Amino acid sequence: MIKVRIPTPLRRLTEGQGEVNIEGDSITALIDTLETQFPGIKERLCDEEGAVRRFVNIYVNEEDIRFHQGLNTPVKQGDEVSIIPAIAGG
Amino acid sequence: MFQLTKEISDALISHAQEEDPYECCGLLAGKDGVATKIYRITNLPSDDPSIKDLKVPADRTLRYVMAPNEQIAAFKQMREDGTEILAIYHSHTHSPAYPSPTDVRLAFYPDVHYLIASLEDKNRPHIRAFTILDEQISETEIVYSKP
Repeated sequence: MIKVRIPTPLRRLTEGQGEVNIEGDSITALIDTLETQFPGIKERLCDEEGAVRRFVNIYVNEEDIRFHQGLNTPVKQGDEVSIIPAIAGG
Repeated sequence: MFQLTKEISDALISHAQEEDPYECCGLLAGKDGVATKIYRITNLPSDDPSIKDLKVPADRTLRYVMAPNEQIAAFKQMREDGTEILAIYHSHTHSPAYPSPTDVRLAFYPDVHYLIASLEDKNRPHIRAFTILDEQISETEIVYSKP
């Protein structure tokens, strides 16, 4: 199982859960599984073309997937995936 | 209302003054609506790729973008402490303590308060609190409690 940490703004979609444990071998697979369990979450994370939205950061353990293989970044048992919406302003 | 201790409020203003002319940013965490801990977070430098992605100015005097790895560390510490995020703060070094259009556009946390420290009048730094929901700004009164 992979632990996925859900940020507070998305917990309305996960029945309040701050973390969910799901199966998957890549970030894409995990997002698809999340969408099956919590419909609507994928469109908050990905744009119409399926790319990660620009204000969403996804980390595997301590690493930003942008610096790995993006959505194709592999994950394995025991990994922790964090979804981190950007906190920014002017 | 948003409860703030003098200690946290002073720490927030100090952070803003230390970073001036850059904007500072960070998180406040606590329990039962009372902020008890301040997390200073790095405002990402202008060459970070996410600056372009977020369509914010490169110049740190005009915007803030929190370092995501420090966000993760702060949230981890909150889980360990049994606290939760209560506020997201940043400074305006040359403008009033009121959300800018960029603040509103990038407000993804509807359940927390956005605190803004203004250094517009360097002799009278002050903080105001807001919630931003569906691009609507609502001000919340700050009540200063004893530590």
